[in-house]
Amino acid sequence: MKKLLLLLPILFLYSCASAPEKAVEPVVAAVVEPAQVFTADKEKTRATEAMNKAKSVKAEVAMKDEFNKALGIYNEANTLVSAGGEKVKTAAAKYLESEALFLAVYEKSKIKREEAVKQLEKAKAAVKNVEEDAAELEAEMDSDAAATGGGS
Amino acid sequence: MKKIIILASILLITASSVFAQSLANNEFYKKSIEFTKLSEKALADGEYDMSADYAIKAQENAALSKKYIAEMVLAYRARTALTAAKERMELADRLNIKGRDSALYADASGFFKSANDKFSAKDYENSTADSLKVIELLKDISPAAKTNVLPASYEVILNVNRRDCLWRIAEYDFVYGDPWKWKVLYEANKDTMPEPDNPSLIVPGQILKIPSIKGETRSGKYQK
Repeated sequence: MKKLLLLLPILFLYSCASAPEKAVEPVVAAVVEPAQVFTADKEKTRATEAMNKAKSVKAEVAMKDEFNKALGIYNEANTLVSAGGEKVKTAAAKYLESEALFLAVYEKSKIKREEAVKQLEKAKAAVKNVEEDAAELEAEMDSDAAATGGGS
Repeated sequence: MKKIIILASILLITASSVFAQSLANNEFYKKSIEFTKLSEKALADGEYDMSADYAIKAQENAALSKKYIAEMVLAYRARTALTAAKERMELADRLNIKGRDSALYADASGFFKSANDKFSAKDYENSTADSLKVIELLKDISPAAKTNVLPASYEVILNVNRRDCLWRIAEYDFVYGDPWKWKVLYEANKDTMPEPDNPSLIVPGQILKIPSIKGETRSGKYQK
């Protein structure tokens, strides 16, 4: 009982100390947005895809000068990206410029390849035609020679 | 005529060596193959303009090869016709067609010479046409006739059963088969007869010439 009596004043003191004095206004922390970082990744991807497309028809050989011009702009864009800052925006434009050039080179190379394939097919057909003609005429001559008992 | 035949033989031998080669085995064909391969390689390498250029050259050479082969075939046909014409002319010579039908022989000789000249000038189509005319003109000459050579002379024999006289000799199939041709024998031999004015007198062992009267080939003495 004595112990209980001793605890009462302590509990009383505690209850007085934890009683709220007044309502506290909620504190709203200010959210700081990170600075917007401009990248040319999408443009680079598009340019790279266009370059690979051009390479798929061997444009680097078929249209060497035009391909190298596009490649030069592409590499220039890479350099600008490495420099960072505002130059990245310029790089993005360069990537798009090289993309257009790569696609143009691709189309032209494709047309050249189609023309070459067409001419090659015509050449093969012409050679085959000569071989067939020769074989047919040789057979005819052999037949004549056999009929006359002679030889050619 | 002999010169023409010799010339024809030389030409034919030359032509034969050309035909010994395969038709497709010509310079243009080889180039067309070569350019086709170059075109394929250039295409694989991406050298499309070069590939197209090579392919066009291959086509051009294939066309030249085709033309060359066509010409070789014409030459072959001309050679074949000329050979046949030459054989007919040689047969005509053996059968003395010149003596039997000089106009026919002259026509055939003219066409044969023309065929040779045109063959030399590589005018194969017209050479063939002329050779065929020779063959057509001489088509009725029978090769069998060349083996049926009649005797050119006859030795009078003493035959007790059938005494020789110009009448009877002319009657023989191997002479004229016609006794009425005795005068031909007489005219051809009277200079050597014992009595030139007497056609009835011939003597055993006397050799009588038998002139050809229809262009028939005659050679040697009659052997019984």
